[in-house]
Amino acid sequence: MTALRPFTCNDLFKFNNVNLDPLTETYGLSFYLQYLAHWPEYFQVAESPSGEIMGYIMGKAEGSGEKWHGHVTALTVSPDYRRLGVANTLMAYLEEVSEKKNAYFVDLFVRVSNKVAIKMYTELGYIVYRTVLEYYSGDPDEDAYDMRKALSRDVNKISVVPLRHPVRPEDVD
Amino acid sequence: MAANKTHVDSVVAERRLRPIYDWLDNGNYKKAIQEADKVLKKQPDFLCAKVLRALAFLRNGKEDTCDSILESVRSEVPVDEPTLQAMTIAYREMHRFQNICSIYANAVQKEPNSEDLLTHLFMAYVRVGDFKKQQQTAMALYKIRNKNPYYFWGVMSVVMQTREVPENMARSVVLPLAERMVVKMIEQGKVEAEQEVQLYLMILEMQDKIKEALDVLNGPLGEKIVSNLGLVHTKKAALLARLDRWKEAHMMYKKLLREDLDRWNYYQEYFKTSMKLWNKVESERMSEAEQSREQTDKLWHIPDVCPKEIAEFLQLLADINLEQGSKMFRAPFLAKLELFRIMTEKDLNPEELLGDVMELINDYFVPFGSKPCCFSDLQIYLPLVPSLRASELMNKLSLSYDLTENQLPENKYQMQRHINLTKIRRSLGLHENLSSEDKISLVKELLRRYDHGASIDQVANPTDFPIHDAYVLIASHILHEMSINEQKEDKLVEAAAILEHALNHSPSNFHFKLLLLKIYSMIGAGNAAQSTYELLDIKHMQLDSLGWLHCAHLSSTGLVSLASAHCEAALKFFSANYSDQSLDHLTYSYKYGSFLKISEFVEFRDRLHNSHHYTRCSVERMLSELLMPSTHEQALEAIGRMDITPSDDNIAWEKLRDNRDLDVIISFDPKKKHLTPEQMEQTFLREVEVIKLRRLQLRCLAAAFDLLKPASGDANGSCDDLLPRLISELSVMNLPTFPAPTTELNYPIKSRTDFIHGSRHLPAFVRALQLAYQLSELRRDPQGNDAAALNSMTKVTEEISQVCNEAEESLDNDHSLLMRRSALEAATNSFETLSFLALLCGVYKNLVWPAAAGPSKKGKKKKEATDQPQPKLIESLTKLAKHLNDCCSRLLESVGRWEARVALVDKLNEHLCKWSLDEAEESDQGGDEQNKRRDQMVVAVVAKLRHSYMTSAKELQNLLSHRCKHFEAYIS
Repeated sequence: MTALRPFTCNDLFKFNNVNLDPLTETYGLSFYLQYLAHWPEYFQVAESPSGEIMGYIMGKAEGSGEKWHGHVTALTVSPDYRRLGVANTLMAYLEEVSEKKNAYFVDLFVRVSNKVAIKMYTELGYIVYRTVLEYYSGDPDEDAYDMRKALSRDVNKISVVPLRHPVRPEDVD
Repeated sequence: MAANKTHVDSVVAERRLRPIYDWLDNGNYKKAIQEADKVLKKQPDFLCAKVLRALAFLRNGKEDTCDSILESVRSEVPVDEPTLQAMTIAYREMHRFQNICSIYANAVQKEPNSEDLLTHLFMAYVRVGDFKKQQQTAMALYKIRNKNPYYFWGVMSVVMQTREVPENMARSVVLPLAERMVVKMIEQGKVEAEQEVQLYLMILEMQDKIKEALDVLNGPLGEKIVSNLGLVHTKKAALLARLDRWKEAHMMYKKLLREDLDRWNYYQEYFKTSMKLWNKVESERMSEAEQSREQTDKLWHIPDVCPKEIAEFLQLLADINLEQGSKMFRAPFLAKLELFRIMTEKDLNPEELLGDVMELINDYFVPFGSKPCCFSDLQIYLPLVPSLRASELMNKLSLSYDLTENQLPENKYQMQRHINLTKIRRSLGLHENLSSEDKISLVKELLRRYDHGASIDQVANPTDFPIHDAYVLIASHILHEMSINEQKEDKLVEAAAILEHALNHSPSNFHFKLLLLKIYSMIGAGNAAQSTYELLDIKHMQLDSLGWLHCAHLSSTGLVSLASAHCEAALKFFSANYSDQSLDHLTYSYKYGSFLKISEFVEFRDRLHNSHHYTRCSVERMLSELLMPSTHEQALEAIGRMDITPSDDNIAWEKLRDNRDLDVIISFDPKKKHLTPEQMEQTFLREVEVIKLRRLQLRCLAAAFDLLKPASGDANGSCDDLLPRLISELSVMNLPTFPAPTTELNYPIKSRTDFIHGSRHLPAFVRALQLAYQLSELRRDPQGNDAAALNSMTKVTEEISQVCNEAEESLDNDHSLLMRRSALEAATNSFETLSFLALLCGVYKNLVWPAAAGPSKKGKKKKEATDQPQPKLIESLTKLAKHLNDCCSRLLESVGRWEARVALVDKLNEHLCKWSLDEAEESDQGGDEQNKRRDQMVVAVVAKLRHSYMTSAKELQNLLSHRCKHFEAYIS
């Protein structure tokens, strides 16, 4: 049970119960603001009946020609509101926006170690399109899965034919 | 012309410039200057090289040099991209955004048809918020390139002008102009993008032309709005509502609910619109189709104009929901509770329609009681239960829990259900009236369940918090509350112990960290608080919204430099975001047509800039800088660096905003115990007053130092009475009382600065300032009477003795942890007051004997002008310094004694090291093990506390011994 609404600047003062979770990165202010400026429709909050922020999704649309697609930049749900389908609702929203924008597919990156997220995305119909080597810097660097789901415009599902070989981050377009 | 030349062989130019850019990027500015010099030798009029050289100077700290180079380049009116870009960077770094406008404006005059230059000029105006110029530039762009975005930049620039003119002007002139501009495009069939339609809607709405806006949405233009899902529907409904066409709006939400049973915001709007129809449409509705209500399907098509009809509709939704079986939604259940709440609020006897509220809660609890969201869903409805029936409700809910009260759960679902029951019990106020003993056995029971929970929650997701963490959270809430209500600090140590232990097993759980941070702050364990704070990894935005949790309390425990570093980190965030980057998203919004966000961004920027935490940090940071100098020269330097104009208050106090997140600590307390908006406001207003006081202290010190500046001209003439004026302002400051403490977990605790007002610190400080002023008068008139000055010296002596005596007493008599914090606060405040007085000693000395003024100040000339120093004054000043030195060393010794006592396992420690909760525990096999473990946890926390106190003591001793040396300079 959620109420979706666009993320606003004032939410930045109130998203602590989501962002204090160590697995959710708090980015510099300009990062959020540029998403709000560029893709406001892709930045949505899920609110609880009591008005608390349960989670949010940040995304964008980019690419040209048959690579025009929606991208999930960040998806996060407060630890206190997990397992309620909040993430699914937010993902469904982003997919639908991408449909409306006539995108061919939606993609996202996820740490290969993040089994929980990978399972969730798989259940939502995403496949591992390719592996991106050492995409996440750290000690040690970690690979990412580039996961994709075709949208209705990609009738022949060309966008989701997995690549056989992993790619380097610099080769990701 | 230089500019043309660089244009001609830009490839060569770029090759030559490359190394300069590289050095700049690498941060080697000296090399960059050398490289630029080399290039300029070959090509002396290479403007871009000149600008890069200037930029290197700027980054090397030589702003003046940079400035004069840029001025000379500016006069040549460059038009080439690289030069202008480099100048833009330099001006941005100097925060001179107006200059960026002027270089591009000049360039555009030279090349009026350059799309690039005009675009840059437009964005430059966006950065400074010159909306009129924005409009002109956008229209000039549209004239040379017939592109829609340029035209709509112009329209938005007109809309922004409404911010600067009176409301009636905005409505009668500005907005109609913006509207006409759009209409012109529509008539020509030129509107293309959905952003353009949205802008048009915004313009219509701003003029309250709701009907017109609705027509746009319903017309062909409305079809262009595609990317904001549901926006058209919700927008339409909202517009209908604004037109008082409640019935239509209401019907839209009913339709939306039919499509999505679980969207809570549709319910909220459904209720809102329905209530508007109550009474109003009744007669009309009655005639409409009463008979049709019989058929179920009709319920979708007629408005619900009274509670009875709402209840019927909700029942319809509930029935549909039941058909979903295990995939049932929560919203239809909660909707009934919401209706119950609304009717209760309106005194409408909800039982008649909806039955017993306990049944409604139970209806929800049976299917969802094992969900983690259960408590937060029900929380707002629990106050509907009369307090006399609270236990009855618990009994009822417990029926769906298939275990007896003492049985431990066998699986996660049972455990979650039990946790929810416990939270509900607490929220119903059933923990409040327990006796101390009962509370303790409850805590023990919760800890038993926590220990047991680990065995059934092993398969938890590594990214989730373990379910049984909740037991520790509730237990520590109870202990926290007991410690405040019964002044039992051992309960705080025990809470800290179990939290630390649980955090070890669940290192992501920030609820634990927040509570630990609070507890450590309450008992003055600054160092322990710091290590917990680091675990929270608070950064960027959170420095503002959560800074209050820690920043103010660090310096309360003597950790002055750490506190200062915190302020600095926050200041960096604020200033970075106000100046430079924070403007990019504004230009982005124009670029991508996100017009709706522009006003929001401008407001957000103001909110951030006016954060009271920002002001607090900047004031406290400067004050803490003044605690560092240990010679008069250093003090002069420190004051000089701060660039304070004491005559200018410089802060828009009435605009300060409260950006604290006061909901961050999770609570399961009854609603009546939560922080009310009034309490939040009270604490905020109080904090603002404290900042005002601190700012005034700062200005007083700066004004005292200004007494040393040579008197010359009018500027100083007006400053003559500045210090006395500030002193009297300081003396009459009347702070609102600090609101009474509560057990509410988010309640901000007092910081040391809260104790300055109303204490001896202010009188001591004021007397010392008066003395400075009196000495400055004697300097002006050496024949004047020095009695007042001598009297002030006696007063300062008396006051400071009082201050230090109180601190010593506090240090020698802290028999509890809460007192330990007060002792540290008293010591830190006294150190601060002594430090301010030490600064003033430097002022005294140089007023009485200007020749002794620092070498950087007035030289020999001044000396001649002054008469012989007055021996009596000098003698008394020396005496004063000696007294201050004595006070300081006594305080130092006293902190030393305190440290020695804290270092030993003193009585307090011994008492605390015992796990009091288990005193009466009968020793069965398992219990013994647990006891031992709990004892160890407490011992670990007590050790941590001791280490923290020692760190504070060390820092204070260090600071105080420096201060002693500082005073010594004025004794000999």
